[in-house]
Amino acid sequence: MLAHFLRRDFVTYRVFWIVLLVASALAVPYLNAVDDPDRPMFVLSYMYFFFAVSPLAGLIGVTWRSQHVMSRNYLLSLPVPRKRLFAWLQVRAGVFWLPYLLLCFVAPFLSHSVWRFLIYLRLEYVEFLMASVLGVFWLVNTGITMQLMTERITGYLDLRLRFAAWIILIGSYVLEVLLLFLPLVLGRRWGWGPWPYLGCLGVLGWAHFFIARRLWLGR
Amino acid sequence: MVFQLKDVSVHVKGRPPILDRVRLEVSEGDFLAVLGENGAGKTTLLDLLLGFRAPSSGDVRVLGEAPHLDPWQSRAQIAYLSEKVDLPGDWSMGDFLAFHRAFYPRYSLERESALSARFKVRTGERIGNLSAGEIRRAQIVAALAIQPRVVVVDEVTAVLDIIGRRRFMETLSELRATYGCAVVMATNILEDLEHHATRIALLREGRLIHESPVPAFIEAARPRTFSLRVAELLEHA
Repeated sequence: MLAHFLRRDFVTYRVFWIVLLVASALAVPYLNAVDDPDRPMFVLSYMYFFFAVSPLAGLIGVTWRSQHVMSRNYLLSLPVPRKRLFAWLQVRAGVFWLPYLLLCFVAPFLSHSVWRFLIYLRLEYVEFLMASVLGVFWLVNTGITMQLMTERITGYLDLRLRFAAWIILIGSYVLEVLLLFLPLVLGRRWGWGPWPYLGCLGVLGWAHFFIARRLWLGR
Repeated sequence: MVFQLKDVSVHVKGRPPILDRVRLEVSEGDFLAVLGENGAGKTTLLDLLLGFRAPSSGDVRVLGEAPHLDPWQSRAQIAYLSEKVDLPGDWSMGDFLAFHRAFYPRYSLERESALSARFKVRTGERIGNLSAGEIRRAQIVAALAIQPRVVVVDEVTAVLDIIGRRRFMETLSELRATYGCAVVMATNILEDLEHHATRIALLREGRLIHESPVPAFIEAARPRTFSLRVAELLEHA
């Protein structure tokens, strides 16, 4: 059944897939051509941020913007356990990031400048991979939480309640980004390496996962 | 008993109760029409039946199980049709039917083709090119081909044309009469309802203000029409 969903998603979002695959493929020679691999990876991240995150509304089936997307009421009415549907949603959202993750896995072997960059950051290869995987996990679940929270907040009738909920939501995301930067900076300064950052990323990713699952299950 | 609501309330922070101590029961072969003003709680009531939300208090049972606890196997016997459901615009009708049928073990291709002919569903057409009514027709075909025991309908008749609406109501009545299927329909379109529904429930501001068999309701309404009596009750109860 998951394959059933993935096959349909692939057809529905084929243009997105083409853009992501072409962008990832173009990044490979460019990584070797420049001294600073940060730049192509930065551009690529932007591409992914748009083309891999924006299908989320359609995958979730947000009910407040259901014109020609499969709305969640339909998904939840199917005879499939809802926890399983949520697990499938993780996979359906995650597969868009596969070319990016694959590129992260092979980039250090394709480009000397990427190795130099990792050495400059004092990052081991395994740590770099963990950061990439956890980063995608955090981004996917942040995206799902954001969509589901937005849907819930737009349902609040009271304007003050809605306004307060928006402030709390936006504030919590700003705080979260700060929480991610802080261990990155302090970890380097105090010689702890990337582990505080990875720990923070993992904890936040899982926190979003559980919040998103709770919202998905309507609890 | 197909479904049972015992003193069910739904509360949301910052607003009056959406449903307030509602008691309802529907047996096999019943066709319950749920009527009420916009915002009366009709959709919330149906959402409870599908387990899209949990009741704040009270007990909901559908086919003997609490729907918010995710009894997923029993959903294979529930056909759900809602105005809230839309479909991907780049799919064809055939794509949607093929996608849908994979989830339902009792899905009948024979019934699908009979219903497709009856509702004039063009399977090759892209959904994005179709009108809302045509999309609803495809959803009706998909939902009823699963051979359901319960059909939950939320406001889909509003976008159907007069012929589509009549065919839909006739099909529901046939399912009810032939297979003992129970139908629960929330609607604002009263046309034809008195000929097809067996019971009527009126909701007002989340409260169940009236519930009776349709023949008794029509009898009590005389000499006024069915619609007029509904409007009077909703306005003055």
